[in-house]
Parts: sequence; C-alpha cells; structure tokens
Amino acid sequence: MALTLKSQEFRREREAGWLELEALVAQAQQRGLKSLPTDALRRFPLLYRSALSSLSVARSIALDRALLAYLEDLSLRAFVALYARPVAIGAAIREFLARSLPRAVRSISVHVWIALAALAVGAISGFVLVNADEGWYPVIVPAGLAGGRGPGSTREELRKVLFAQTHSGSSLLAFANALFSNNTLVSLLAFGLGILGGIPTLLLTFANGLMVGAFLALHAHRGLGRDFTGWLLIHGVTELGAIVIFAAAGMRLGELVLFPGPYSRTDALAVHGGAIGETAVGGVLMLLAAAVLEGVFREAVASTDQRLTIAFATFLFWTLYFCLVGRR
Amino acid sequence: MTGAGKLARSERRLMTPEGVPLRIELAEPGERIAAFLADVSLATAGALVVLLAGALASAGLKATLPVALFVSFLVRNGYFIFFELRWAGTTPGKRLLGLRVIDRRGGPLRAGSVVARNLTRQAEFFFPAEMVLMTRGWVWRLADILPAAIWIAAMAAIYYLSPDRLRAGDLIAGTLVIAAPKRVLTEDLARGAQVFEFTQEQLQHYGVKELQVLEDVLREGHNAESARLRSEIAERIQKRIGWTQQAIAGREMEGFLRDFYRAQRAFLESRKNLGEERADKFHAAGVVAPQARKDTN
Repeated sequence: MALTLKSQEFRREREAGWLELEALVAQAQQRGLKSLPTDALRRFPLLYRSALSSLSVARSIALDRALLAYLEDLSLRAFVALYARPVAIGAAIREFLARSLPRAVRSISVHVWIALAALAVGAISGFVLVNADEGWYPVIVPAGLAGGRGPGSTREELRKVLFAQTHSGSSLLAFANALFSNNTLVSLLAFGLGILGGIPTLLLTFANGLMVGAFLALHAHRGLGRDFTGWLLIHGVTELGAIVIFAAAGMRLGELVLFPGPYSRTDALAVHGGAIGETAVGGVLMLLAAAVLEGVFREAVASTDQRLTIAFATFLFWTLYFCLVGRR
Repeated sequence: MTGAGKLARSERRLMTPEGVPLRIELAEPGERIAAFLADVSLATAGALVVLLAGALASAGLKATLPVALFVSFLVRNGYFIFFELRWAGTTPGKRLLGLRVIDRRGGPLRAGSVVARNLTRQAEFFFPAEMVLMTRGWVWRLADILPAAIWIAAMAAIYYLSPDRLRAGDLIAGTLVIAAPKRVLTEDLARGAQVFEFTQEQLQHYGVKELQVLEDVLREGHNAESARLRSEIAERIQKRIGWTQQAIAGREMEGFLRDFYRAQRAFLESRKNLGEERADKFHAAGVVAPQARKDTN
C-alpha cells in the first residue's frame, strides 16, 4: 500500500502554519501581543483562522486523536491570546466610571425606581407607625442596631449621639468601622438574595426603609427631626443610594433567573448580566464613599446646616452622575 | 502519555466569534481551590507588609481589626483585579495551576467582568468570614458562626450545582475558568516506510475506537513494560486478522504494529470518505466474518 493517507497529506500541507502560530502564541503569552514584530502581528489572525479551518477539517476527517487534540489546543491558545488581552488599568477605570457604570445603572432604571419606591414606602410606613405609637419602635428596629436609642431615651441622650465625637483619634479606624456596618451587609444581602427571584430583595429594602422612618419619628417627637436628618443624610444619601443600586441589581438578577427568555439561565446571565455586575461594582464604590462621609466628614462637620448642605450636594452629584454621564 | 485513562476533565464547547466551536476543559474544583489558596497567601503577605509599613511610618496608626480587614480588603482585591487585567485572566496562583479566566460567550474578557467576579468573591466568602471576626473577636459561639457558615455553604452549593462549575462571581460576570491548554504536536504515526503489507480482509476487523487505542499504545514511552504490552497486542492482532504472511519476532513487533496502524488508518479513512463510519469493532454487528459480508454483496 504505497499511497499516502489523506490525513497525512493534510497535515504535511498545513503543519508549518500551525508551528508558526504556536511560536507566535508562545511569544505573545510570555511577552505580550505587542512584543511581536509588525509582520508577525499581521500574520497572527490569518494563521489563527487557518488553524480554525484546519480544526474543522480535522474534526471531519482525522482519525489521529493526538493531532485533533493538538489542533483543539492550538486554536484555543491562539483564541485566548487574541481575545483575552491584557487590559490597561487606567484606561479601564476611566472607561468604567465615564461610561459603563452610569449606562449600566440607566439600563436597569425600572428596577432602580422599584427599589427606590420600596425604600420610600418603607420609610413612610415606619414614620407613620412610630409617629402614632412609639411601641412600634422596638418591633421595627432590632435592639442591636438601636444602639440604646428607643422610646425611653430623652432628648439629651439622642442629641448626644447625633453630635458625638467617638473616633476623633483615627479617621481610618472610623472609616473602617463605618464600612463594616450593618448597611454593607444589607446591601450585599439585597444583591445576593436577588437570585431567589427578587422578592426577598424588595422586602429587605422595605425593611431598611422602615427603620429609617422609625428613627426619624423617634427623633421628631423630641424636636430633633432636622438634626437627625442631617446626621443621617450626610452619608445616608450615598449609603441608601448604594442599597437601592444593589437592590436594583439584585432584582434584575432575580428577573433573569425567573425569566431567562430564549436562553438557559446561566446563558441569560452571561448575555444580559454585564450590567448587573457593573452596577454592583458601582454599589461597592458608593459604599466606600459613604464610609468616608460617615466616618470622617460627619465627625468633622458638627453643624446640621452644613451636614444638610453636604447631603444635598451628594444627592445632586449622584443624580446628575447616573442620569447624564456617558450618554451617547 | 496521551492515554485515554488519564484524568478526564469536564469538557464544554465555546463558540468563537469566527463560528468554530472550540473544545474547552473546565478547571477542576481542587485546582481552583489550590490556586485560590496560593493567591490569598500572596495577597495576605502583601497586606501584612502594608500594615507593618503603615505601623512603622506613623506610630499613631494601630492595626486594629477593622483597619486590618480594610487594608487586606484593598490589597486582596487590588491583587486579583490587577493580575486578572494585566495578565489577561490569570494570576500567579492560576498560572501555577495552569488555569485561566475567559469570557463565557467567547468574546474578549472585559474589565467590568474581572472587577465584578472578584468583588463577588468578597461577598461570597470574605465578608461573611470577616463578619464572624468582627462580632466576637476571637471567641466564637455557634450562633455567631452559623449564618456565615450557611451563607458560605450556599455559595459553595451554587458552584457545585451549576452545570459549568461557575461560582456566583462567574455567574454574574459571565466568565468561566478553564484549564489552559498545553499539548504539543507529536509525530505523525502514519509516517515512514511500509514494510508489512495487509490485505483488505485483514483490515475489516477493527474500527476507529480500536485504532485510537492502538495510537495511545504506540505513543507510550519506551520501557520494558510498554514493549511487553506492545508485543502482546501485536500477537493478539495477528491472531484476530489471521496474519499468515510471515513470522514476526522480537524487535519487529514494533514495526509491525506501526505498519498495521498506518494500513488500518488508511483503510478507515477511505471508508469514511465513502460515508461509512466504523466506530468500533462491532460496526457490523450482524455480519460475523468479512467472508460472509462478501457473499451477501
């Protein structure tokens, strides 16, 4: 039997191209795509495509398992070298802040409005309930979070908390304490529980609003409504904003899990999930900003007027940022 | 060896933008945990250096638990995100274990995905673990640990139950962790001069599966054990195909096997070109012997 095999011929014709591609891929992986000379850079995609076509042919004719495995690997390596490129970090950050993040949040604006509504309804309900009867207060606010403030507190006790100087020593410590507070946990839970269909997320957001309303009513009864608002909102605009953002991302997550459309659930997440991840990253940034405001600025700024001014400024900033930045 | 019995990873298909699906091998859980531990050790070492430097630089900064947790939060996430961006989906730990993060849709790995999958790890594992640290210092009660433990267990369940071995961060970021390929082009076994000739009837017995087993055997290293295996297989093949041309002994067995491999592959390839797939030796279950087959034609 002197005839050459078809598969042998196929391999002989194309082998040189494969080996050249392999060398280019190895160099690109070690020293980056940019280290390749211009000529090699021009040949890279051509060699990659011809390797893909070799693979398609080999899949249908080759009985040589090692060859097929080699081609599969080579194609994947070239694919990775071409598509999973190193990212310039500065440019990535700029792109994220100036475009991806506000666009991602706008793309789930319906969910943001729903989360905002849940928070607002919660706050109003909490206020109305505690306003009518302070007996509701311990029901709504867990003892651990009340920090000793309750229906039994006097005006002076409440005032002391609002203008306390607890962390005057280290601002980093104050910042870290603020970061690892209840609201970080609530935000992450609101997001994570989204995977259960979004309802727990809504409930959690509502419950958080309830607490805010209950606190407000408690202070308002003792003539501290305005001072409390300043104390809360100086960081609260940003922090409650983060909770709303996380809750919106969580609800979108739940929506994709419940209604994946024409895709499988994991595919639906891969296709539409980009905005969810980006929104959550934005939420983390907002939590960090809130921790700075709470840990550092609230202690430094003891006047309610100034606190309210800062609160309004942050409100304006986030609104404009999410509504206007990065529009096409 | 390219052996069939080697660790079989779960395989998936990834559609490239060029429209050719590529075979990818998912990273094994053990590999991912090992890579994670390696990376966390490095990042923790980095965080310790930062904390020590900070304590030395300013006497006022005490490394309290919240500060330590915050610094390690920054260093750890900075570490993962920096490497996964700059090293195109790998970190030192992942390189050690030969793993790589890719985009699940077959597109480029986006910066947003990298950040999201790493921050999610924070929520999956580190925050619950740190909440335990924060609540009771170093003395824990079961009731304090339980919620965090349940949370982490639920996250592990997502990973183990997801069809493509995706942890929550991969789900959200649309990424996938694969074992980086590294096969080399081996010699074509069908190369070289043919010494032994086979008749068409002698090539009727085996299918593609047997051919590939033979390929594995031929690609195995040269030692006494594999030489013994090869001559045993050569004898079995001779018996099965009714080899009567010439007696073969000792060293010739190797050449006989290679020639048989080449002839069998040529035969199966030509059959395949004619549209007849012979998956294995049972391809003609109804037909007992090649002779009978000829008679019916």
